[in-house]
Amino acid sequence: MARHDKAAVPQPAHLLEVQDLRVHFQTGGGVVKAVDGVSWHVDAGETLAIVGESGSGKSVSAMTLLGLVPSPPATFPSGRVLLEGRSLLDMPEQQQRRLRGKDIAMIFQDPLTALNPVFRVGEQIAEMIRVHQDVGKMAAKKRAVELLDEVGIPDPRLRATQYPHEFSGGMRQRAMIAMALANDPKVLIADEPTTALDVTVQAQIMSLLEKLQAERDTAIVLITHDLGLVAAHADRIMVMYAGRVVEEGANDEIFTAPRHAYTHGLLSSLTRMDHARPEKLEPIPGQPPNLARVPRGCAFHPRCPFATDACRAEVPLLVPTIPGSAHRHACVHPDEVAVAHDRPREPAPVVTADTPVDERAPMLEVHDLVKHFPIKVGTFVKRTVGEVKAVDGVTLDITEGSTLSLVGESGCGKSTAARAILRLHEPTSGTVELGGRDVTGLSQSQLRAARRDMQIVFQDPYASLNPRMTVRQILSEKYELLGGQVTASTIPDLLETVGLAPEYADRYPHEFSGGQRQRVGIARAIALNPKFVVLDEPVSALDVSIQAQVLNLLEDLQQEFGLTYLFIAHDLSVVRHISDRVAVMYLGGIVEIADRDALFERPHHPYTQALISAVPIPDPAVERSRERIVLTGDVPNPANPPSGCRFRTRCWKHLQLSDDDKRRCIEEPPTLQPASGDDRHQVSCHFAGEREVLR
Amino acid sequence: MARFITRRLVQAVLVILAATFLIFLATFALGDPFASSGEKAVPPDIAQANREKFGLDKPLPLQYLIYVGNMVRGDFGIDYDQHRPVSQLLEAAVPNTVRLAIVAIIIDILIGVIAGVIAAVKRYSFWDVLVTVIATLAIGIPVFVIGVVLVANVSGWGPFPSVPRSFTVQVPWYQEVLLPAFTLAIIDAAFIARLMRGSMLEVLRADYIRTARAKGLSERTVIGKHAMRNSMIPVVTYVGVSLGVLFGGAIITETIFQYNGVGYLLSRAIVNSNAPIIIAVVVFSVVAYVLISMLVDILYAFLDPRIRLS
Repeated sequence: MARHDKAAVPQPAHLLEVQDLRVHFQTGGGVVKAVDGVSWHVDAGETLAIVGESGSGKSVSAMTLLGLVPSPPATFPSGRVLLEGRSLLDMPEQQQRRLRGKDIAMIFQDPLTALNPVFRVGEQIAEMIRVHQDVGKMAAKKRAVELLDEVGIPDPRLRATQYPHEFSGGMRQRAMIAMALANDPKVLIADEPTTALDVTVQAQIMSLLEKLQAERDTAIVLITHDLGLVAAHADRIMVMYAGRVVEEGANDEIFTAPRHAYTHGLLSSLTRMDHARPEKLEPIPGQPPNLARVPRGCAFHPRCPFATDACRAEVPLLVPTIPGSAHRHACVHPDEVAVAHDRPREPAPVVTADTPVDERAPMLEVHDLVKHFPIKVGTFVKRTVGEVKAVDGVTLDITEGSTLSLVGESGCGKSTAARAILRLHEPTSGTVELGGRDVTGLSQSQLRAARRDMQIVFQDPYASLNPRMTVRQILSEKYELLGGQVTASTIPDLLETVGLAPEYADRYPHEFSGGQRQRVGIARAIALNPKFVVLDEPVSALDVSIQAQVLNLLEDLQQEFGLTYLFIAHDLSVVRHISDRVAVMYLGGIVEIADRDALFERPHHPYTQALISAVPIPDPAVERSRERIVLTGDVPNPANPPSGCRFRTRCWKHLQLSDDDKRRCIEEPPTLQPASGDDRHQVSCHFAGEREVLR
Repeated sequence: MARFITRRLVQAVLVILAATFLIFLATFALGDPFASSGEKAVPPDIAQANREKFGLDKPLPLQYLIYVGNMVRGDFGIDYDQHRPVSQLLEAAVPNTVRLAIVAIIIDILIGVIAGVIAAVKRYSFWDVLVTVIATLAIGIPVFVIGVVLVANVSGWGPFPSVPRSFTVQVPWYQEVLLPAFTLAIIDAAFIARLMRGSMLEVLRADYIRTARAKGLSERTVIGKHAMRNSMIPVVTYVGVSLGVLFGGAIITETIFQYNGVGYLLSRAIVNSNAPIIIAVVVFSVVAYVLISMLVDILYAFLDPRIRLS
């Protein structure tokens, strides 16, 4: 509440200041307090990160500044927004509008949908200029081309005349940034700016934002759920939970000395890519609250291990950790949190198997798997004019009871490979053996019987469950299809195995949260005790605290039932936590495959190195000294891959080679070879060599 | 573009051939037009002469081939009843139908789009409820009810010619076209209003509308420029289908108002089993429909650059 006293001072203390903002929505289910008394500020050249899970109110508080929250249904019971001392919300609408896009600009999460599909990119940028500046049409268009050039879009003159769908995801976000910066705004609000992008592209976009911020002294408000991104890029951090600020402070303070139980919980539930031996994740139990029925007192208390009656009594206020400090928290038990945070964490459970992993028999053997999709043209008679080589010769095996992760950027073919292994896509060629039995040769009826042993968990728990079937129906159907017996206890037992109450059996999917739905998806996959399960990005649609719950469940199930996992992921932190072995894919082929620790600590392929270096680590101390390898450009079209080594067009190492060596990359496709004489670590690069990228 | 049009024209020829063959079969199934039936007694020798004159003595496939051959040259034969050239009948009726269709569609779009946009932008307001209620009501009323009510109460009043029409009274086409056009437009406008409201509401939720607002554009620009073009796409589909149907002749409406278009021509021909006219009108309708749907596809590509004509 100290902020209020400051507001009385006429001289503006900060560039942008939000005071005691409340945004409520009147809904049929009651008043949803999306933002409930939030204050923050940001200064020129500074990056403030607003962190929270979905529904924490982090986006709504920023959107309110731009008048993007429709009212009704929203009401604003209290709050002031001061831009250089001028009160924004008190201005007439027309005056507010003049500041929008001029002094405060915004970039959004999904660049695919944030640009209007029916107007040329150049026109959309020029429009932004012409709303706020008195310039002619031609001058604005010229400026738009310059801006596209500034944000690193090659051939900007041509690009300006193209439509958004002709841009790749990273390019679109660059165009959004060009548009946002068109009028040199003082404040840039970036709402999950890289969430929809690949890590290598994320690294490009974040370094672009940092460069532009340094040149223009822009204040950036970075809204995100990604603590790694925050550690790498924020100056100050504000953590939100259920519409309120629970903790704020400088970057290092929040990461090294959190004082709120929620912040501590978030950090403990994170998977970290740089930890040699992953500690057991400590997920926050339960779900974030329904904002129409926020628990009394501290909203976090039902999920908090430290909660006492004092927490339930009243809403704790933000207080400085030590008098006068800007590091403030709203926790009744800061000292217990501090002790808990400094305590060394329980190490990961060691698998006590009779034989070590690498000596056990392989459960899955994939040999030279190929999946090409023909490109067809013609109205009446279809001709094949080319092929998308989605998977082009993948060989791997997975030991019984272990996890192999397949990683790579979107479009690298990892999901297609997994589906071809399960014969959800019919492979073009190659063999897949499951437990010594060739799956590729099976007839349809044999294949159906074999499906008992091979199952899949899908990425999107919302789309992969039939909304018109109850959980009991969804699970029973599995037994009916694959010939299992359902007794009275089957479904309740199965639900308990995945950590759901048996009473949930007769509910429909929409009555569950995302994490619970994913548990149903897992229950469906493990229903008939399969030997092998494909996990296709099973946690990437979930919030951090829920991710940890699901990852722990997957690990427990693997131990209990000896499951063999093929884990498809783009999130390398999760991969480091869950895998025994990791294969890195690029444009349809494996470029490097190794045991987990070897791959992360001694990567040999330049692509693996770039990929690992692009992932931010949620530790500001590590991030400060880390060097990022920023790859240029996007993944080439798999219908027309580059000759020789497919990665050479984006390879940082290729650029450093002599002309003769370069020619070798262009002419001779590399094959997987043992790296430094180790048969379990194979790499496909003519010039492979170690490079430290974690620290 | 040229390739697209060529391909669509090839498709159109196939559709027209198939349609003429089907309608040929259908009229053949009507039976012998010159046979005696009921009160109509036809002397056998005259009937036989007529059958020879119209080529009905030849086998059906041959009749069809002769018809197609003549049609390509623009000759639709003569009608059974008064032996007038069918192409002349069409020439007289087609311009009237085209006028009617175009006037109706303009009224449609004006009323439908404006009402739909207002209902979407002022969602849940009085205006929204009003538009929705009227639209639902209009869709529920059969077109002949509206037509008959207008004929009974409005025709003959002010500029509107009275029905039944007199051959001696000539009125300018715009006076003649207004009431039938309005009759046709009411139901279509109601559909368009509902379509426009729905599609506008969906577009208004889109991220790029949020972007447009964040740019500081006025609400008028946000709606009129950014939302409008995107939300017109489903409306264009509907208008295209509707226009195609109208060009084929609005049988009920034209008959009620005794409006001399292809619909009225067709309804009279059906009553008399006058096969040459029926076939010719159907061929015209198919050609009109195919051409208009091609135009709509081109308009699509103009509205939405993501659609490529290939």
